[in-house]
Amino acid sequence: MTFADLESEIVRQTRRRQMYSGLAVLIVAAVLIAGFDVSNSMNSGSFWTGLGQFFDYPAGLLSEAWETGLIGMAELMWRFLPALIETLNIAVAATLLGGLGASVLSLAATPNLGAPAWLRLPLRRVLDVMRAFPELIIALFLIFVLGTSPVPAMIAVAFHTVGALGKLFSEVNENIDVKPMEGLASSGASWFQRIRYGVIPQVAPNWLSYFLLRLEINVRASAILGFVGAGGIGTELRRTIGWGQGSGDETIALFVLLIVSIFLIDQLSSWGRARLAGRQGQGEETSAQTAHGHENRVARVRAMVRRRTALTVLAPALALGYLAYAWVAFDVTGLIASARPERAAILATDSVMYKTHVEESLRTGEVEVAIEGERTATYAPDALPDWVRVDGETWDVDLGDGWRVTLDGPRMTVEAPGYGTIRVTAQERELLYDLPAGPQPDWLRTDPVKFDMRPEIGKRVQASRAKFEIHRYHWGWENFWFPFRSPLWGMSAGEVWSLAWSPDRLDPAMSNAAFIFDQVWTNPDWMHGEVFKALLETIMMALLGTLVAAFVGLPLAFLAAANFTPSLALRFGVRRLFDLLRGIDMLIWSLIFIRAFGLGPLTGALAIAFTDTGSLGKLFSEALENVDDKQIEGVHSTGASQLQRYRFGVLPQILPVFLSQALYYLESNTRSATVIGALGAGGIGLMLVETMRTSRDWENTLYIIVLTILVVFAMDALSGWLRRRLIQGHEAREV
Amino acid sequence: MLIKIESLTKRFGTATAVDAAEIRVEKPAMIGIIGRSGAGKSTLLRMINRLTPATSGRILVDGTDVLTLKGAALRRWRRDCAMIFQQFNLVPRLDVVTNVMLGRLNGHSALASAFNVFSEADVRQALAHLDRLGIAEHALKRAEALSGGQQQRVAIARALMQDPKFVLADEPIASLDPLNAQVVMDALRRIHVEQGLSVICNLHTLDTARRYCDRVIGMRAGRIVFDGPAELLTEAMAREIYGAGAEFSEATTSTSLATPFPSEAGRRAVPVTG
Ligand SMILES: Nc1ncnc2c1ncn2[C@@H]1O[C@H](COP(=O)(O)OP(=O)(O)OP(=O)(O)O)[C@@H](O)[C@H]1O
Ligand SMILES: [Mg+2]
Repeated sequence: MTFADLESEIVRQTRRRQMYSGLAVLIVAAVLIAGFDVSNSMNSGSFWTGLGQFFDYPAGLLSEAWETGLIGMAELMWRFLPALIETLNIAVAATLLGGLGASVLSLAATPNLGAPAWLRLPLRRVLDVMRAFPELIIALFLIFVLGTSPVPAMIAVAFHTVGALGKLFSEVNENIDVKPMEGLASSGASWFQRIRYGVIPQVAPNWLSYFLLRLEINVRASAILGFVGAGGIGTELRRTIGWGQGSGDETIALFVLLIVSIFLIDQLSSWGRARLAGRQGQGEETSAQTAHGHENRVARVRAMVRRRTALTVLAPALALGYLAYAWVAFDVTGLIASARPERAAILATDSVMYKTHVEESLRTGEVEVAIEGERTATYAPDALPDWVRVDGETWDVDLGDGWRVTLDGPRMTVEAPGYGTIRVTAQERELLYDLPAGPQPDWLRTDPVKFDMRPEIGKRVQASRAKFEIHRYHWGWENFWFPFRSPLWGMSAGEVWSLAWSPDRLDPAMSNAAFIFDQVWTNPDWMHGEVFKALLETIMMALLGTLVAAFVGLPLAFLAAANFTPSLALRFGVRRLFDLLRGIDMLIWSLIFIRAFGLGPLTGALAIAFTDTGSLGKLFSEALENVDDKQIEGVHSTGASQLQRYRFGVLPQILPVFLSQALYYLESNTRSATVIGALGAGGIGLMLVETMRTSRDWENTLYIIVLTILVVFAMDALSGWLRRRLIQGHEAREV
Repeated sequence: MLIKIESLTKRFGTATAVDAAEIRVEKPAMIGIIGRSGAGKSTLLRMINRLTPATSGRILVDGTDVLTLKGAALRRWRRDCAMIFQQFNLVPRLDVVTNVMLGRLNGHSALASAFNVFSEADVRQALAHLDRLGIAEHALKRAEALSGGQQQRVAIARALMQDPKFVLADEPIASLDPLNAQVVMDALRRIHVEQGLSVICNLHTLDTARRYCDRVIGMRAGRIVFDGPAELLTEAMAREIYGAGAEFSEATTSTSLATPFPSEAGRRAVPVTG
């Protein structure tokens, strides 16, 4: 390469780099502006009017609290203390269980610790899935099966904790020194002993530190899940907020309890983590001890061994004792007794199957065939499904596998393979039966007023004095693409495809392709359009919230970093602002913003932005305090201005932290956005809660769950991919 | 204890790291294995301790082939042939005396090891070993806080804690300065002389081998090319082992101090077989 070539290559590269930087800035700006605009128009209340009312709600609450007075407020807080304790119990129990699961799984999932690949690789995937799985879904599902109790929230949080801590623990495990393990192996230690002494002492400090951090996060998560019905302080909050005016003092009491306890746990956890980091330089003998000789040394070592044994026995014993207490406090025994596992079974079958009803009304003698028994999905008499046949007054229904039912006025005959022929006659006062000889099978119920048989999951026949009802189940989701009444219903994919290209319009107002899309989009059973709008809202919340938090947090972080802001007062002020934003917590921010801005993505985005400006700002300021001064000096020595010094001396250093943390928060905020949505901000979370609450069509719920999980996983994968690309390529390619 | 290594071979893919090694040890001896980097010294020792699986061959110890051992018997065998590493392989965050007591894990139940239980006998023995190696006053310090030479002595104490039948040492002095190297080699020599254990020691340098070992095994490209008393190791032989040209001199492989090795009655030639 000649010198001229080299020169032009350098110029080209510089241009390209400038272009990338410009492009990145433009994209972010565009997303911010467009996002704000779209969210604003999607939101039920507008940003600008909401801004004016922003303080109304907190002010109203505060004035009610003021009227109650200090003593009254203290009494209220005392009254809510049990709820707070329940929330804390959920968090601690979930963190303990999750931490336990994470330790075991991470040890088995790390390549350098000797676990076989067939175990390791699937385990990694399992941890990824557990981490990305939205807690809300688990909590709602378990509340449905177990009833309102703290246990669903505990399990949901613990589940996520296993995944999140498992990943972090695995990273710690990967970075340990394996030589001690080899040393122990060479002396005949078993695998368990090698892990116990070769690995645990090395990883314990980092594990504990992550554990404490997780405890802090889990207190917040437990409070927020309480709001969807999982007990604790969140449930109380929903109640007081639901009552509206007059219970503002209670709401404030709950807010204060939550903020104070989050603040305390936060302090406790950072104190614990700082202590773990700074522990070393012990065991030095004084000269007096050395002079005391061998026996004294034996005594000291024995005391140390005893102390350590006591500690290693005590710690798990305490944890176990605590879990036993939680078992009692959460009344798990009672919960298991009152659990309704059949609801899970119904949910499972119902969400992957649909049933078609054949119903005979004994008053009118009319027979109707309808999907899910819905009036809007009734088959016309001349277009019945092929397993129903009519011959005059006789209806012949084929249930498959040789089971058939014949309806003939008030008489019903059931052919049951392996049992015989069952005859049921409906009379004015009772049902008459003619059953085959021999013992009656347990799938059959023959009361004078009620006949019910369900020999297997896909077949059911019922009779009362008013009607005969036959259900035949089919795999799949009914009417998923086109509504029953649509002209496209029942067409094969090929037919739809050729129709889309056919010039003969089904609807003169639009092309066939547009018509097909419209039919799917507005399908009243599945509401694809609505669902996608809700998903979009949730994504907008996460994206917009995280972006705003990152770009507001960064400049503020400079003001909070000692090496950039000499003014102690300013630094102190900004740091306390971060603490306040974080400490008030996403739950409370959401509730306030829902009041001010109504339902919609803007509300959720603001709640996320407020909380995470605090979290990210704190992280960034810590990163800024750790930058290498020499690089800044180098840039300074060239006569660069202050701005240039930041741009070339500081930015390249903190960019990796900035990007990876922002992306990490984006990932976790996608999950948070579903939860905030469920609190009332809208999006897919709210839709999910509402479909579950009406709980008629479980296939709809499953559909929403699947989409939510897909979106969360996709965001997770996207952010992971971006993080790897941006951080790895960072040396070569700066923004 | 009679150790008979028969056509022991290790291949990594197509490369042969150890090629049909034959070694016989009939009575306790201090044996030095020398050879240049990549000759297969570490691989040979690691196969004996079973840290690296052998490709073929046999290692007969009092009649049993230790290459066939599994599970508890294998762990018991590992305890019998204590191993000392170039990088010490201690648990850095644990204190010194616990590191030494870890040599006893093989006799402990899972429950006792889970809860850090060590008996008074374990404590006394560990401290006695540390005392003999001159580092007892560091007993309660973390292993990572010690110097390299001290750490290697902790590793030797751990090896002794295993009550081994013999000791394998893989370049125990390669990361140490000359003074510490001498302390460690003296300690290994003492183990051999006082406890009558065989010590098989990989060494980089010829002069150390000459100074401390009764018997020297020279390896080159996986093959044993010399096996005999240190006295018989001529300069021509050393050239052959190190594959060097005429410019080779012992000084180029020397790292030791100039202090003379204290003459010792126990030092004698061992008959070479195989
Ligand atoms: N795990 C492994 N995988 C592949 N090849 C290996 C492995 N371990 C060792 N080898 C090869 O086997 C040969 C012998 O290695 P070994 O470590 O036994 O030599 P050495 O004599 O101990 O050398 P050094 O003095 O450098 O420690 C070398 O060529 C090395 O590259
Ligand atoms: Mg080696």
